[in-house]
Amino acid sequence: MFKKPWGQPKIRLLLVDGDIANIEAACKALENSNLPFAVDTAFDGKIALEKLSSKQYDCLLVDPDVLARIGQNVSEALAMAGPEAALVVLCHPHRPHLPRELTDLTGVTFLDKEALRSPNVAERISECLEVGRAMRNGEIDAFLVPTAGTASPLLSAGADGLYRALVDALQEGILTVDSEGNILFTNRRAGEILDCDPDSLLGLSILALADPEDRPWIEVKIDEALRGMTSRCELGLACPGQAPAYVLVDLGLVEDMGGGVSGVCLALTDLSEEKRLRDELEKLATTDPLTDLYNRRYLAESLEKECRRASRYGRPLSCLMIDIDEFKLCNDLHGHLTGDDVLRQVAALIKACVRDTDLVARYGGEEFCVLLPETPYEGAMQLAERMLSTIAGQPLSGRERPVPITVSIGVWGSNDKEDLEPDTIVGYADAALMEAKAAGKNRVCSYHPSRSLGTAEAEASQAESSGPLNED
Amino acid sequence: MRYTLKLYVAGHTPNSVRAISSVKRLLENELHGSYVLNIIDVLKHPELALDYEILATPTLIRVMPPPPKRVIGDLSNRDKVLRGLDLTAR
Repeated sequence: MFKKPWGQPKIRLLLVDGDIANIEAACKALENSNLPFAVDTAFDGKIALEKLSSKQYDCLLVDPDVLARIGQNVSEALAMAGPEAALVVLCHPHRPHLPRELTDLTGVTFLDKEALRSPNVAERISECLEVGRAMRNGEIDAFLVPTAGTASPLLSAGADGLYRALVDALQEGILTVDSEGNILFTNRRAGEILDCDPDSLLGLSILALADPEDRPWIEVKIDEALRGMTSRCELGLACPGQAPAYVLVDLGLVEDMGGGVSGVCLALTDLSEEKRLRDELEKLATTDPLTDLYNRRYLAESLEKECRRASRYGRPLSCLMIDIDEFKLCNDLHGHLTGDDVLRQVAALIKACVRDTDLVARYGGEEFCVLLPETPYEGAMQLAERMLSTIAGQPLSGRERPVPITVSIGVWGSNDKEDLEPDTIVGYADAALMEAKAAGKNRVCSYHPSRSLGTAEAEASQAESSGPLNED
Repeated sequence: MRYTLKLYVAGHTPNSVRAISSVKRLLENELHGSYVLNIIDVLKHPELALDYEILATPTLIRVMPPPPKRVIGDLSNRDKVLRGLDLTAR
């Protein structure tokens, strides 16, 4: 910068504009300002080139149209002014697009032409120069070109479009925070996980987003990451006004180009979806798809648990085996689709009869098993009778016509403290069911301990006697 | 006195990211919470850049109390920012 020996350094300015009124207004305002501008002017391209070839300038303020009229462009004019000169392009606010060559120049700033007539034009120009300086130092990311009603941001060279695209394509949510936990960077997925605009997270503290219980935890983890350890935790994070998301967070140190610490990167994996899939898988593994009842596998697990519990605490436990009467005939008469409907309806009726704590499972084709914890034998019998009459009470709806359906039920119940074995329980209830079948179906039979398993048919004649046979 | 400041950034470029961190730390240290900071992404909301005739990002503007004061470019230099915004540390 040229420095006069007797005063403050003057910034030598060449203003090139075809509008004399603009030039006059700007000169007047610049003279009156206390900023150190030495202004020279040119109202056409030829004068501008003459001045540029004979004198040195620190800054050019140019309307590109003036140069274009004589077949010149601003980059050539700037080259003439010298490597240190700053360029301020005067643009028409109502012209949305700039000449392509302008957007490729670095260190160029843009000023609305109307600013020349503003009383604070000196401040505006000095700001342009400050932007030019910062841009040459690599401090500027984007400069804004005033256009009609808005401003067009132009990213400066080196802004990270590719890197951005890559990070946005990741399936993990990415946040980076500084050492105090302020969020500096977010990707698209982070916004999706937390159900908010990712930019709305910028500047917020990760600690404020964390579930209050998890706050000390995440603080410790960030601290570990800052010390170079990789760490991992699970926590609830919520964007203000949103429901929390449960996430797995992997933390790692982020170093800057010079090897210094610039913050911590948090990679978020949404566990809400994983949990949903886990739940879905568990449902698939434990339920029967046709009837939505539990399957045999789940029954076996529960039976074992309930047996242990009942034995240990001396609590009652009962079990029902239920079989649809003449189901094969029903299939033959009404078709298999109706058969499926019948299975679903019977399943629903059984469920409607029991309590929430009871467990209903589809045992086999048309067989169901009901496990009744905390239920003595008498209660199980009452329930079985009620179930029998409910199901027999009204015909089920078939595809074409109503289908009359009945069931047979075998009951086993323990009132006493016994050593219970899951297999035996089901076996007992099944034996009682066989009795009910042999005795003519559509009835409830209970297991009698004096009979051994597998002799149900032999004793079918006695089977009609309902009541607690094991209390004989 | 409560200060209102606006920080204009362009997406997640390294300078923008650094600016957010620097400004948060500086304001917290100097103004101890008695401030409101709005962060504006000009890539998302270019029209907001017109409000204060923003030329480039990062730019930090003190909006309240008037008159507006601004600092452009690197915001990590405490003295430069305090001087540029005419902030009196409490």
